[in-house]
Amino acid sequence: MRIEDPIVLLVDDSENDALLVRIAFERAGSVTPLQVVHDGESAIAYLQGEGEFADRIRFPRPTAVLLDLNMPRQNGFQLLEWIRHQPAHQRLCVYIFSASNRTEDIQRAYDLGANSFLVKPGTLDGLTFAAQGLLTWLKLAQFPASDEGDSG
Amino acid sequence: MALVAGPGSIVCQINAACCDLLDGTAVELMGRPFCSFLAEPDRWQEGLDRVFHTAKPESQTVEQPFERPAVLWTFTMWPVVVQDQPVGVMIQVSVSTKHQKQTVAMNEALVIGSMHQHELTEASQKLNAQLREEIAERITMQRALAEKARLLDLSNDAIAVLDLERRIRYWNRGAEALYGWTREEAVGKISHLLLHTEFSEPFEKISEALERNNHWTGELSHVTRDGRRISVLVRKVVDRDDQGKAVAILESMTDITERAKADEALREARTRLADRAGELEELVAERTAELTATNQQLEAFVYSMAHDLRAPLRSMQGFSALVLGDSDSVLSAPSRDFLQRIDQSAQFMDAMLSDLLAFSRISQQQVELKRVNLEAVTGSVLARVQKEIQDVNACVECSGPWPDVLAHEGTLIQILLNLTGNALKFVRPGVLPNLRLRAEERSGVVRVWVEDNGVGIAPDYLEQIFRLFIRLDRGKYPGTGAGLAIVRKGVERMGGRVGVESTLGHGSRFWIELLKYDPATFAPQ
Repeated sequence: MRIEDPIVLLVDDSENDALLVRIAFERAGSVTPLQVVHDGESAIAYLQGEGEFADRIRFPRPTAVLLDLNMPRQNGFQLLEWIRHQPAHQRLCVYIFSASNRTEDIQRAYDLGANSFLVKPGTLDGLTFAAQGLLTWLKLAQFPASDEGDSG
Repeated sequence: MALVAGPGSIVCQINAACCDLLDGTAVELMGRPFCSFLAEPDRWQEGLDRVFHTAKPESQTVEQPFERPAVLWTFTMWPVVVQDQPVGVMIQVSVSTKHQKQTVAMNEALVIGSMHQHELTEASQKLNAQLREEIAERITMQRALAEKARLLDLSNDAIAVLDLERRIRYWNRGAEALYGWTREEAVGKISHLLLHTEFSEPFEKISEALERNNHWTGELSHVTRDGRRISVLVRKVVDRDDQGKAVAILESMTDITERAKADEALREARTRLADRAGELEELVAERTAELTATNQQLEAFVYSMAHDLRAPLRSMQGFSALVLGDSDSVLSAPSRDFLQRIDQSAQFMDAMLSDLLAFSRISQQQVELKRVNLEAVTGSVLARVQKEIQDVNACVECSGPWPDVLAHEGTLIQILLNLTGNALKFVRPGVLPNLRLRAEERSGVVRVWVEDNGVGIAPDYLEQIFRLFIRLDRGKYPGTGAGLAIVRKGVERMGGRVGVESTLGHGSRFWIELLKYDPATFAPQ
C-alpha cells in the first residue's frame, strides 16, 4: 500500500543536526513533523511504543528511519542489527544518514540490512534537497500492510 | 778328450791322451773332422750332429772288433753352448775292456752327471751374466731416479712415491717440510699408518679409482710428526711400466688446512647470516605489523577528526543560511555581509575537510594495481566535466594512442579529474581555453599529458603547488588547494611520478607517469 503522508524518525545525537534536518523537511514540504530521538535506547523505546512513546498519536509509527551511525553508547550499526532481529520491525525502512562515506561503513550498513545509505549534506540547501527526494520516494513506494493496522 | 767345433765337428782342441788313442799328433788332428779318424765316420757324425743340434749329451759305447780281449771305446759327447747357441761338442773317449763295461756304465753315469753339472754351471754362468746386466740396468735406473729425485726435491710441494703395498719409497724435501718426518724416517713405512690418514672415501674406492682411471684426487686428513691434524689435497697417479703393469704410485700433497678452516668459517658465517636474516625478517614483520596498526590508527584519527569537525560546520552553515534566508529578520548590510562570510567560511572549511579526508584515504588505502584502459578512463573523466567544459567554452583534444597501464582505476580517475578540473578553472581571461589530453610511451612507463593554454605557473612555484592546501592565487579562483597534492599522492601510491612544465601567462603541461601494463610480466587476476 502507498502512504500519503510518510512519517520519518530521525535517530541522531546532534541537536543542531536534528534541528537543521527538521527545517529541511519543512522546507521540503513535509506534512508530518520529523520525529527525533537522540540515542539508540530512545529509538528502541519509540519503535516498541514504550514509556512516553506509548502515545501513538504524538509518536506515530514511522514509515522510515533516518539513522546516524556516529552515536555514543549504542551506535547506528548496533541499532540496525537490533531492528532487523525484531519480527515486528524487520521490514522497517532504515536509511543510514551519516557524515561518513567510508567504503567499510557503506558495505557494513548494507550487510546488516539497511535499505540505503545517505551521506549527510554539509549545507542546508543540500539537506533540503535530500529531504525532498526522500519524501518523494516515500510517497511513491509501496509498503507492506502493518499488523497493528495503524499508519501515517 | 777333444773339443770339436761347428756342425762339421772340426777338431779345435785335443789332448795328448786322445791323440794317442787316435794315433796321431795334435798338429795332424786339429782342423780336421773328428769322424774322419774313426771307423764308421758317418755313424759318429750322426751322433755328433744330434748332440750339436739337440744340445743334449749322449754316450755311446763301441766294441773294437780287432782286438782280443774285446775293447770298448766309450764316446761321451756333450754340447758346448755359448749364449744359447751351439758351437761345438766336447767328446770324451774312454777305452775299457768288456768286463769293465759296468764300470764304464758307471763312469758314463758320472760323466752324464758331471755333464749336467756342467750344464748347471753354464746355466748359472748365464744367470750371472744376466744378473750383471740387470744390475747394470738397475744402477743406470737408480742414477736416473736419483736425478729425478734431485729435481723433485727442488719442488716445494710434498711429493712421495709409494710402492703397491703403499710403502713409502721416495719422500721429497717438500714432504719433509710438510710432515716433519725426514726421508730416512719415512722411507719404508706404510704411508697411511705413518700419517694417520683419515680417508674421505673408503680406501677400497680410492684403489679402485686408481686402477680404473690411473689417478685420484681428493681431500684427506693427515697428522704431522708433531701431532697436528691437517687437511691435505692429495693427487695420486699410477706409474706403469711398458707392459702396463702398475709399479708405483706418485703422490703430491698440498696443505689446505687454511682453506679448510676458511671453508668452515664461511659455512659458519653463512649459518649466522641465515639466522640473522631470519631475525631481521621477524623484525620487519613485527615493524610492518606495528606500522600497519599505526596507519590504521592514523586513518581512524584523521577520519574521526574530520568527521567530528564537520558537524559544527554544518551547524554554522545551516543556521547562518537560515538567518540570511529569513525575510522576516532585519539585518543591516554589514551584518548580512558578516553572516555571508560565516556561511562561506563554513562551507570552505567543510570542503577542506572533505579534501583532507580524500587525501588521507589515498595515502592509507590498499592500492591494488590492475590493468586499466586509459582510453575508457579519459572518456569517463571528460564526461564528468562536461558542464565545466561548456561553462568556459573549452575546446578539448583527446588523442590516442592510449596504451594500457598498471594502475588503480578509482585513484586514476580522481587524479585526471583534478588535473582537467584545474585546466578548466585556471583559464586566461579573454582566451578560448584549449585542453589537450594525450599519452606517450617511454621505456616501460606511460606518460599522460594534460596540457592547457591557461594562466601558467611561475618557475619559483612549480614545486610548491603540489603541497596540500597551497593556492597561488587565493582570491581569484575557488578551491582548497588540495587538488595537486591529491594528484601527487595518488600517482606515488601507484608507483609513478608527476611533473609540470609551464610558462607564466602561456599555459601549463602537467604530466603523470604510470607503469605500462605488460601482459608478459603481470599475471592478470
